[in-house]
Amino acid sequence: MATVPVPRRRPLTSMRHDPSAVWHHVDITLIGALLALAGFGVLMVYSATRGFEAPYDTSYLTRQSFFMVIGILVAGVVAMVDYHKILDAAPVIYGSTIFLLIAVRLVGDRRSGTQGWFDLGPFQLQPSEFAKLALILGFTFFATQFHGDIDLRRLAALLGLSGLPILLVLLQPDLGTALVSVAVAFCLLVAAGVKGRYLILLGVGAVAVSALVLTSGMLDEYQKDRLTVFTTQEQERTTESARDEAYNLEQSKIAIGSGGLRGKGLFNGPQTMSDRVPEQHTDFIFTVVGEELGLLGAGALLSVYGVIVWRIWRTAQLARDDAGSMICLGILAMFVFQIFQNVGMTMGIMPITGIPLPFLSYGGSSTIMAFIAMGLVANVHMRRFR
Amino acid sequence: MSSSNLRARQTVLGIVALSLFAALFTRLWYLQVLTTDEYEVAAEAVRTEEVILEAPRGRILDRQGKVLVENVRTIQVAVDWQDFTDLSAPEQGELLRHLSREITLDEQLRHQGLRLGCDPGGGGPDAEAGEATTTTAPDDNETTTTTTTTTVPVDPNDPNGANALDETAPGGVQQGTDSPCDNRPPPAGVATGARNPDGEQDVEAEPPAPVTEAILRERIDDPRFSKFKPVPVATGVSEDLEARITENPERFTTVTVERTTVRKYNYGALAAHVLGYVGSITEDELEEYQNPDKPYENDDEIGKAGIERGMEEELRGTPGRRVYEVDARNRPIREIESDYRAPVPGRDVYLTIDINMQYLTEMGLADVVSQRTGRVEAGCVEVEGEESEGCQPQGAASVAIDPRNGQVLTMASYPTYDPNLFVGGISTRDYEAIAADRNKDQHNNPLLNRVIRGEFAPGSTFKLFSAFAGLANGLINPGDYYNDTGVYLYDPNCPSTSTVRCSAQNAGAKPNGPVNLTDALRVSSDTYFYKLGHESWRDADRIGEDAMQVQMETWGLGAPTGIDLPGEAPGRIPTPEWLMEFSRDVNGRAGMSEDEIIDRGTWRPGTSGNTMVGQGDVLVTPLQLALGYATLANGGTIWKPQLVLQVTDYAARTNAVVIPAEQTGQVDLRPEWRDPMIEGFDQVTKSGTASTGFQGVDQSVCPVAGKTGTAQVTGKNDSSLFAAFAPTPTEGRTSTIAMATVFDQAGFGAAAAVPLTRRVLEPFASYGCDIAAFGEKGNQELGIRASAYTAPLGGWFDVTLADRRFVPPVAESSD
Repeated sequence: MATVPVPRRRPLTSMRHDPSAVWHHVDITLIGALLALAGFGVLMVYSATRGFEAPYDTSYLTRQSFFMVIGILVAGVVAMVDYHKILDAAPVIYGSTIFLLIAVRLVGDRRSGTQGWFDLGPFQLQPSEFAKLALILGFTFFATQFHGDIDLRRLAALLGLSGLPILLVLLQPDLGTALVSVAVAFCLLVAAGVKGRYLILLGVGAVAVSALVLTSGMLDEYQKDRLTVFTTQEQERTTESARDEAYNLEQSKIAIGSGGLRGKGLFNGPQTMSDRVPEQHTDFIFTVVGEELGLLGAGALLSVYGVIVWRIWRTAQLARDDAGSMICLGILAMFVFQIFQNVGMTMGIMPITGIPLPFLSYGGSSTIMAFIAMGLVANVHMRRFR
Repeated sequence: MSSSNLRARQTVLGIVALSLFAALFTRLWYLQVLTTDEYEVAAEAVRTEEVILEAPRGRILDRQGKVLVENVRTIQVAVDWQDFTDLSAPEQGELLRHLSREITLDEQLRHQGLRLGCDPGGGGPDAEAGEATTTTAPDDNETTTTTTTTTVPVDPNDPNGANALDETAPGGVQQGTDSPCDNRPPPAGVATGARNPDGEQDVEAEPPAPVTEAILRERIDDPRFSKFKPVPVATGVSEDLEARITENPERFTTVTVERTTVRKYNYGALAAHVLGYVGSITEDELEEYQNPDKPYENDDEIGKAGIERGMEEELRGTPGRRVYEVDARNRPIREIESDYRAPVPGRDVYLTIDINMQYLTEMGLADVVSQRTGRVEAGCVEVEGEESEGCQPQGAASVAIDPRNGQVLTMASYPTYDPNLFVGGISTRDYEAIAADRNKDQHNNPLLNRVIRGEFAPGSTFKLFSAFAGLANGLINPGDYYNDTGVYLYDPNCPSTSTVRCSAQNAGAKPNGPVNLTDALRVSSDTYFYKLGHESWRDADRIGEDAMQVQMETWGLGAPTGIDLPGEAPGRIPTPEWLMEFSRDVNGRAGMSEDEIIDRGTWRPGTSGNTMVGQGDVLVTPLQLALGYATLANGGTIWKPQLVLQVTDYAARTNAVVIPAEQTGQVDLRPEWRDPMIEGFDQVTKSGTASTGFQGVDQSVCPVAGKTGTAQVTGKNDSSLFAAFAPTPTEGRTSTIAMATVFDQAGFGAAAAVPLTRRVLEPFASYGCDIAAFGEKGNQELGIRASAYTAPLGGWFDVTLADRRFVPPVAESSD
């Protein structure tokens, strides 16, 4: 009886034996923080939308969970492909984003005055969210080729590159995203090594342009009111929309302020339950955290954001090349500004603009975009030795 | 670029990020720790909404506990002014067209009895007692509405179905239903608005006038309705209309239908001037009546006249409240039960009025007025410069008081009005038709309470006071006789053709022969009193020029009696000083010369004589007259006329506060003066001026004493008066009623006022002049059957029928 030789088990992969394999350098801290944040975000969206009595509304909970899962999967895919390959595709990504931005101006859906959505049945695609990423990738693609040597012509090219999507977003008009994009672009210019005096000039120029935009007829009255209401919180309002915005801001502050140290308890915020704060499951979700979980919960949330930002910044430091570093800094700028802007507006220290809070606000495009960005950061982190 | 430079830049970016986070933390700390208390308060403050629960108003009952005024639930159609004005003109037109058609149709169907507009009871879409259902057409406005609801506790003594009538009711009236459900025309003398301003028009039960679009629009824009609350455009509509409107919200946008409670005057127009009515509070009233215990909201109801106003503080309930937690759109989320305050109903007010007697009186007034109208006879021909149309009574009043305590038993004024007219808000058109000055000739002031606000020359009824003043000043002696020749000469040499007034005569210059005080009152000898007046003026130097007036005023004349009703007139007892002042004022303003002013303002013997017989410038209110005879009847005590018997808890006789009788004066009425006077007054109905009118009345148990009066005003027909009291307080009897009646321009005293008095006192006498025995008839609560004199619910009577049943003999003799 012949013996059948048992084939030797071959290792499935060679990862274990390759010390430089990307899997060894996954940023566990970042991923842990992200998953915690994702779970927390879903919980907050549920709290904001469940209603005050049974039967509770779980439709937002389901949809946001779905977005989270999709986001995590997409982020995984993004992390697996070497970011250099992604960068190689940057012109295509950038170009198609510009195309989408133009298309949305023509055939997109209009929501509260902004034409920025494609209605894809169960899902509304918001190209301006992805434009931020496209901007980062496109910018990095070009800027890395200059190796820090940026003269005026190159600067002009970079400015044009960043300015085009910003302008298109501004035309929707989606002021919040445009502002975030400006911050991202400025940060990228810093990272790309643009000379200090140009940066100062640009800063001055940006202020001048902002003033011009505010005083020109480009913005609707309500948009101006939203922008300026936080500077005049104790004054009488003259226009109806200004009064509305002031009311919204006041309710938002009341929600957060009345949360105190410990909060009113999960699912137990009177302001939240009584629907007093507008858009509280999207832009104003931070009020839910503030009211129901208090300083402890909101502080913890900000700390987690802090950890993530720290990990992004650290990745920028550790990145193998300028491209990785620049991608991370762009994403860092995007996150920091978005968090600061969003949380700041709910607390009355920033103008009210429609910007989602990453991983917390309800919304498919913004959630998936945030995960893609994190995938890119993880990507850079994993490949810091290769 | 060097990598160290890049690193530095990255560090800078990191620091920027860090500082931004630090800013967020700081702000969070500021909001949630440093200023959290402030926001905690704000969070509490903004999330509640208070709903005022209006408490039912107290009821008004008669002295027997029969419910005169209560609250009933009704269906009201209202239009939200704010939303309505926001509509475009064509939309408004369309809405009004639909609405007017529906309301008119509903009115007609209700008129035909095909729809019910009465108290819908607890049924309907929202059966929960007391909660008003508001159906508002969908609108997106975030309006903050405070719904005011009224809760009506179940009244254990359901008055509906009470007062089953005997078939022998004098008016021949079947069970009267209640306005606004009643389709019958009102009794004579009851103003019901624009179509019948003076109440005299004999309106047949014709179909109601259509409610046009113009009427609706006028109503919606009527400034007397609050613009913050839906303006009621139709009250007492049927459930069918309610369903039609609520089921077509798109056609009836801005229209609301609510079940609300309104005041219901169970006896229609009976005692309207005593009860008064309610209406929306004005700004001035809000200021005057606002108090922390029973706070008023804008547009709350408040008493506007009569007891409704006089007893406002007792009748008004204490509003309760319900506090809801609300969301941003003011939608209630849940009730905060610890903040709930139950509304406390107002207190019940028991009047001293006896509704049975009130019924007899008002029916009598209407009947006598209708009889006297157009009558051509002595006293009814003197319309200057016009061909005589006979008597045209300009109104009438009658009041009865209990001489033992001043309680007012009846208070009736003709023409009158139906307080139900004011329920749900009276239309401008109706109100102006019955109250506006410029329509005075038309409506003849049905809102005017002539008992307290009407000032009349008392005529011979005044002789009570003149006689007393003469006795008190020692000018007459009860036993002394004076030979009444029918004419009194102030100047013995007065030629019969003199242009200067130097003589005066009895009515018809009828000589009465020798008369003492008793006889003078019995036969109403004017000359006896002319002489008294003349003598008092001749002795002015000795006794004072107003000695007589001083004595008259001890009876409370010339000043308000203090009754608890607003707007009482004081009457007038003229003095020489007053006359001169009056002449200066009136004639001076008319531009007369000084000589003429002095001439007209000079007090003469004739002025004195005229004053003694209640002519000239003497004015009294019917109430003062009744009070005077009550004072005589009780031996000299002046009571404050009292309308409120007691105040108790709502729909329960607990915590009763009985209002004590209040003495306001004392007349020094010595028996040697009082007895001959009473004897004279007692004779009036037996052998005197009212004897014809009282023919056939059984006076064995409850003899009636009284005094007729005929007041003559130049250029007008005579006014008829009669003051009476019963039983005559002799032989150990005590008077239980004193009554004064005035018919303005209706002829001799015996012709109108005496029959009226008989119509009331004869039935009263058949119960031994006992108000309790008389009034308890028809008291369902006590299980006592109605008598022939029981007031029917609705207060309805038919004058023609009443007249046919009761035709008293009319005195032919003069005053």
